[in-house]
Formats: sequence, structure tokens, C-alpha cells
Amino acid sequence: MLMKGNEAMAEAAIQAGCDAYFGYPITPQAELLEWMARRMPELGRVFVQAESELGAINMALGAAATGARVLVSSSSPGISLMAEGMSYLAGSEVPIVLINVMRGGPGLGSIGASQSDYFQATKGHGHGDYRVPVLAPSSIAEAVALTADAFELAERYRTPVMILADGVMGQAMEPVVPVYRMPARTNAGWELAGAADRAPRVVRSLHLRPEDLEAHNRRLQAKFASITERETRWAGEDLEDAEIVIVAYGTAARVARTAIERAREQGLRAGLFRPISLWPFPSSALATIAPDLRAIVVVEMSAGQMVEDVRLAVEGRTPVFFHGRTGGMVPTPGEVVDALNRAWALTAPAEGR
Amino acid sequence: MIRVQTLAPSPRRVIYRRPDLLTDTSTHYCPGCGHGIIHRLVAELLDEMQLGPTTIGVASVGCSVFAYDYLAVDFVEAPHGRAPAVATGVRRARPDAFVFTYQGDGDLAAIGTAEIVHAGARGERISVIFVNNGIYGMTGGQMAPTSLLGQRTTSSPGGREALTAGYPIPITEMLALLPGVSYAARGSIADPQLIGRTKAMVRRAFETQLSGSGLSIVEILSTCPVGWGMTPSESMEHLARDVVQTYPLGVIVDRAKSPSAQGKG
Amino acid sequence: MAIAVHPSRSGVRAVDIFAPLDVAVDRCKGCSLCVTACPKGILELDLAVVNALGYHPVRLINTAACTSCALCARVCPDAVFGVFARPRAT
Repeated sequence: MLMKGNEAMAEAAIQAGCDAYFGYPITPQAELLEWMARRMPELGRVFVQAESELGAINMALGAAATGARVLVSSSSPGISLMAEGMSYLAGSEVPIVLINVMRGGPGLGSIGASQSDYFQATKGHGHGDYRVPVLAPSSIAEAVALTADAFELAERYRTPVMILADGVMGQAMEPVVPVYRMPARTNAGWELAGAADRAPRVVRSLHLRPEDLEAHNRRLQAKFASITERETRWAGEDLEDAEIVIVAYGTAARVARTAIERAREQGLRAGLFRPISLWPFPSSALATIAPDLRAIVVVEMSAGQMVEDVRLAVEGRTPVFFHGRTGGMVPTPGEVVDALNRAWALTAPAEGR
Repeated sequence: MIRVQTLAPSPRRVIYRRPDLLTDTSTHYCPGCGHGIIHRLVAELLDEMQLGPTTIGVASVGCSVFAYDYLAVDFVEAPHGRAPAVATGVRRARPDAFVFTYQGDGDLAAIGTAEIVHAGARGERISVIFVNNGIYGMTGGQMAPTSLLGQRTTSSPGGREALTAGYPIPITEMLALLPGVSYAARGSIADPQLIGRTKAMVRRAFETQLSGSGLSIVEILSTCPVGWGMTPSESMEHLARDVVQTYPLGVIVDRAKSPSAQGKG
Repeated sequence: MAIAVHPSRSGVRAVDIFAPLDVAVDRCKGCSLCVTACPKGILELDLAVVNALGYHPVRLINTAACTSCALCARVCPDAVFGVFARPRAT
């Protein structure tokens, strides 16, 4: 059936057992909130349009602290308001799923699609030593699947999890055979419900003694190491014989796919490396294939954010090029083919020396 | 020769006992701090109304950030000012819980103004304990939105001037305008009688929540002896004599009792 | 402590101990709010004692005058008091 991305993600959350949704209208994800406004009361579940994104993320903290499965959604400027809340969620180890349907920035920016919140999502939004798993779907069908995965990840590791979508994906309508999934519930024994017949529990991020906070941070870091080891995801296309590879995610990856088809028609052996988990970033996988490549071209709808992680992963073994558009502009396949050809030309082996 | 035989101590009738819901931990509050009295009132009421097993408290940021170490109920810690929003999430996810926030004047009337106004506008079934001591104690004694005109603080060393720093904010009167705020009252801890009346207000607030009729808030005028530069007893006198001039005591609204009328109790 | 003496025929003097106030000495912070609140003025800080918190704790100086009104308990920020009355005469 034909589904709009925002609505597909909303319904995926509902089918995944989402108990409560908190949000605030912001373009380009208002349809997600509106879908929840209609469906959640139908099912006797919780829906609140908060007074701001700041209110919404804090309502999420409260509800999730009681063990509810919670979804929050927003777009870039609203996510900035949620940065404080994300730091508290991570420090208090409270699981939620947060969907960011990215738009142009900085500031009020534009309502067009972008990927300029990569740093914000993967480097932590808020203050303190923490990481948040970030999943980047590249199609509406994948967004549906990753929504269920996100709830599962959040609860397995007691962490907020982000889904990084963009305005194109949120607004586009595609034929989808949605495959919904409800991850099993686990009662992990930390949720608040009233201390009847047990000692009181406290959900907190304050640990005033430095020794205590360091111990807490070590535990958190061990958790992030475990997530890095087990939850890294990526997909490759046409990599077996590729000599030049595009690294792209989300909507940029879809454009890249078309560009690669055209490049191959022209005789260029191009392939696609598509990170699906932006954190943990698939560094080892990329580092493994990089030495065999002549060049890597990173394509983003930003001024260049993921490209830094690509360069770190590759560690100088392969030249890395960048092509990006900002402000809500989407790169065309033609531009990306040109970028491939430019990179190919610039990396031609030296002649006659 | 008279032999002295000591009888067993006479069985005593308990007039007052330390509440069960106060933990054994000695509080970090300064000697004479109003938080100690107010924590005690909350513990007494939760005990008396048998709410301990279903209570989820929301702790805020300020001197009372450690309330969860002193009150033996489930607690979630909220960022500064956000307690009413966090409490909203708790309340909506757990319809049968008893939910209260415990907030200071900076938390509720400065950084958290949007959150309390909208929790009130939505009529969230939570009880808000608002401790107003007209100063930011935890961070060293800076001016609060509820500091009095002329009050010297570390960020108003010459005394608060209306021209540059505005007027003390009557936040509870403002909240009482909202139909979703079912009970709003202001008490004081300045002497034992007033403490008794304040306890009755908090009891009424808790009853309001249990009857499901909207948000309840009790503002409690409290002291900060160290921040004010006074002894505990002098602080109580200042409360009784000076602070009430700006913040009069009484029930501001009790919609469950008298839907259209407002009265002073 | 209040002492009531009951002379008996056998020549034994029975001593009856009743304490209207229990004070958690090591919880007291010497804030003196109870000293001010006591209507009989029979509470004072014991300057000869320094408790575990480093304060002079409160002490009841006239047990017989205590009416168990519990105003001290009502005003105490640290809930150091247990207040008791004699059992009612039956």
C-alpha cells in the first residue's frame, strides 16, 4: 500500500508496542504527530502534544522511567531543544526512541530535507560522555523495520536510540508492504511503579562524588563498547569488483544508487557502502575494504559531517573525496556521477616518472 | 534503710514519632533549613494517607535535589525546571500512581515556568510542592524570581531593584487562573501553628489529586538562614513579618470545594 | 526523667521513670528552632556536648514541666524528637 514515510514510521511504532508518544508540531514531521494523535487514543494509549520539544522529551523521560515504551519525534531545531533531555536519558539509562526527520539548518534554516544533524546525532547532542545508537533508514520499508529494532535496542541496553530520517523520507509516499514487529518486553527490575513490597528505586543521573561518577561512566563506556561490538550495521552494493566506492546513508544513498548504475553503464566500476548504524559507525568494515579501492567519495546532504568518520576509519590509506549539498537541496544522480569521475581523474596513477 | 526498686518505665502514649517514610540518613540541609520541615510534612502525610506504596516522586534541582535520599519512595530525577513535564509523563504512563513534584523557586518560577504553566493548563493530576525561600541556596545565594524588592543576594548585592531586576513573581496566583489548576494555596513554616496549617494545605492538595480533579499546588514560604545571613529563628521572624507582605498566605483557589469562588483560608 | 516515689509498707521506695521526650542526639543540628518554639522554655542546647555531626544537641532541662505539646517536634527540620505522654488513667 501507499504510505507516507512519517505515517509509516508512526504506525511501525504503534505495531511495535509503543505505549506513549510525546511530540510538538514541526515541519517536516507533523504528520507523524497527527497520526499518533488519531491512533493512540483509539488504542487507549498515551498521546500528549507538549508545550514544546523541551516538554516532550521530559515527558518521555518520566513515562519511560516507569517502564513504558516511548516514542518522541521532531526535526532538527526541535532536536536541539531535546539535547538536554537526551543527556539526562543517557545518564539515567532510560530507554526511548527518538525520530529526527532532518531539515536544513543551522538555526531556523529551511524545511527542506538535509543530513546536517549527523554530528548532533552521533557525537552526543547534549553534554557529557555518552553515545546514542543511531539508525539511518534509506527507504520507507527500512524505516518501518528499523523502528521496531530501535525499541529493542533501547530496552536491551537501557539507552535512548535515534532514528535519523530526513524530510524527503518523511514526506515521500511509496508502495510498501509493511512488515511490523513487536519486540518482546523485558521487566529489567529498575522501573518505577511505587515501592510496594520492595525497596524504593531512584532513576537519576546525579552522582556527586567524583569516584561514584567515574564508576558510573566506566559502566556506561562498557555498555557503549558492547553496543559497538554487536550492533554495527551496514549494507554494501556492487562492492565485489568495485574500484571506487560511494559512502552515503539515507536519501543520499538512494541518489548514489542511481549514480552508480549510470557510472557502471559508462564503464566505471563503482559500488556503494551504506552505513545503517551511524553510531556505532561501521569503521572496521570500511577499513577492511578501503585499501583495495582507488578512491572513496562521500555524498551527504550537508557541508560534510560523516566524511570525517570515513576519513578516520580509512586512516589515510585511500583518498577520500566529498560531494554535498546543503540548505534543503538534494544532490542529483548527475552531480554524483560527475563527482565520481572527478575523483577517478584525480587519482589516476602517475605516468612516466 | 530504704531500698530503691526501679520499676519498668511506664508505658508511654505516642504523641509524635519520626515518620516511617523518612529515611535514616541525616540530611545535608543547613541547620534550620525549611526543607527539613517540609520533607517531614510530606513524609507524615504520605504515611498517614498510606500513599507510600504507590508514590512516584519527581525530584528537581536545587538544594533539595537529594530529596530521594530522604523520602523512602520511588523517585525520578528531573532536569532543572522540567519536573512538571517529567511528572506528566509518569502520570500518563501510570494512571494509578500517586505523583508529586518537589520544586524550589528557581526550578518552578524561573527555568521551569513553561512546564508548570502547561501542566496546570492540562490539569495534570499531580501535586506540586513549591518551596519558596526567595533565593538560590544551592548555587550560593543568588537572586530568585521570588526574591523581595530590596533583598540583598550575591547577584543583587545592592538590593533588588525593580528597574533592572523586575518584581517578585506571584506565580501561584498566576497559575490559579487556569481552570486545570484545581487547588492552589500558600502556606508558611514560620511558627508551629502555621506549620500545622500548611500541613492541612498539603493534605488538601493530596486529596485533590486522589479525587482526580486537576493539578494541585502548595507554595510554602520557607527559609534559607545561610543565604539570608540570619539565624534560623531570625529567618522565621523575617518570614512571618516581611515575606508575607509580598506573598500573602491562604487558599487562593479550591475548585473542588467552590468551583466559582476563591477564598482565603 | 520524672521520678514518682511510691512509699510502700515494706520500706521499698519504688521509682517510676517517665520520659516525655526522646531526642536523637546525633541527628540534631543545634538550629534552636525548638528552643524558640517551646512554650515552657525548657529546651536548650547542651553546650557541654558535641554530637557526631559537630553540633550542640538539644536537651530537655525540666522533665516535669513538659506537657508533651509536641511543638518542638512540629518545628524540627531533622525530626529528632519522639514525644510521649503518660498513659491515660483508667
